[in-house]
Amino acid sequence: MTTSAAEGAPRPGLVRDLITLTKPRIISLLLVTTVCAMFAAERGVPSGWLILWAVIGGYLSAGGANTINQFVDRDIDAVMGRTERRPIVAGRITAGRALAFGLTLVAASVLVFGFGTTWAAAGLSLLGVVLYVFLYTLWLKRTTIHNIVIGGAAGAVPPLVGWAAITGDVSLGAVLLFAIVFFWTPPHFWALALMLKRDYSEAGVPMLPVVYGERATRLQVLLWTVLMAGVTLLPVAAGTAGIIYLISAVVLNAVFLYSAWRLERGDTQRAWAAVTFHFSLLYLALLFVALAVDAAV
Amino acid sequence: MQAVTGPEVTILAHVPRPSVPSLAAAGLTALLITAGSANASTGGVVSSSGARWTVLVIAAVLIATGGLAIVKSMWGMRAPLKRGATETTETLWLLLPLAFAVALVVFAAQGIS
Repeated sequence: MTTSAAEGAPRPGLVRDLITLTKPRIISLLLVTTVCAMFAAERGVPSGWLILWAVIGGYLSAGGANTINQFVDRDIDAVMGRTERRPIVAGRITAGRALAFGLTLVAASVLVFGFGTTWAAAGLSLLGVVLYVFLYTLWLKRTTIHNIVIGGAAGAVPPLVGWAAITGDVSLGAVLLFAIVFFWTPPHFWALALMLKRDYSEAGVPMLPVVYGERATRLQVLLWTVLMAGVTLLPVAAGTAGIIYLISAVVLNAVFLYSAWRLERGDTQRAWAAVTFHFSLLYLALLFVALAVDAAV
Repeated sequence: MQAVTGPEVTILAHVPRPSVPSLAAAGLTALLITAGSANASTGGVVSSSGARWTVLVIAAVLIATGGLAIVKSMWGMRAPLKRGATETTETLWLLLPLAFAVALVVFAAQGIS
């Protein structure tokens, strides 16, 4: 092999690093909310092709947003133990190439949604990227303790996208699903922040536990869980969801509230922060699966 | 407000707390009542307007209880102001989600005949 040929060949591990940039584990939950919202919008089982295009478009969109996020946050990532081995920080991918990769993914996602589903879904997915990059990452993350509350709007867009992929518009039902994810984000993220307080502190990110301490954060996790529990009941009142969803929501909310309450009490708080965080992931997935089952039967 | 300084950040003193155990107990009770109240359903969707109103009222109680407690406990809480943050934006970020939740209750109510 000549030297020039060797330089032109992709280095080993490049594909893995590109996939890492997209944060696939986070995207999987977003895709669950997207697909389940499609079932709710259809009030039945949507076309398999629509689901396929929505999943591909959703991965590209969220993956692009996550990649751009790592481009913007590379200074923070470098000082946080959890993120210091990410591809850009570790020097395995240059910042410029990562940005180009992220933008390419976003552009591809718009085309996939537009031609595969509806242009309303394409526009909403682009809105989600804009909210994540500009509202959350560039503005709120480093300036306010409400960063993940308002910035949570970006993560709540996937159900809107899924709904619009079916109907071509956004109705009250779609907004209620957006709201569930929106109000789920604070207790979910603050439980995580309790575990990563030192990292956020070293990076100068004004997460709630960094600025106001763990006791105040534990209380907010509980209060926002109460608020979220109320919001999760609204699809039933609005006629978007039925009895299967309602029973699931009641059970899941009861467990989430118990976990948040134990966390607030301060009993082995680190352990309950971990329990609350991990359960919150399961909670959202199961709640949306219940919504889909409710719509399909 | 009492300030506690740390090596990297400033931790501001805690604000008054509502009665947390009673809040959690009320939430759990409300959710259990909800499950019992919505027993009229056809084709998956809860069809009885009475059951839907009951669910809506319980949702509204949870939202109001949580929302008011959040405002009470977070009022005035903010990080040291940096570029891009003002007292006004901090207040807006606190109230905006709660106003959104109230609007959702109103819109959901309009959908019940």
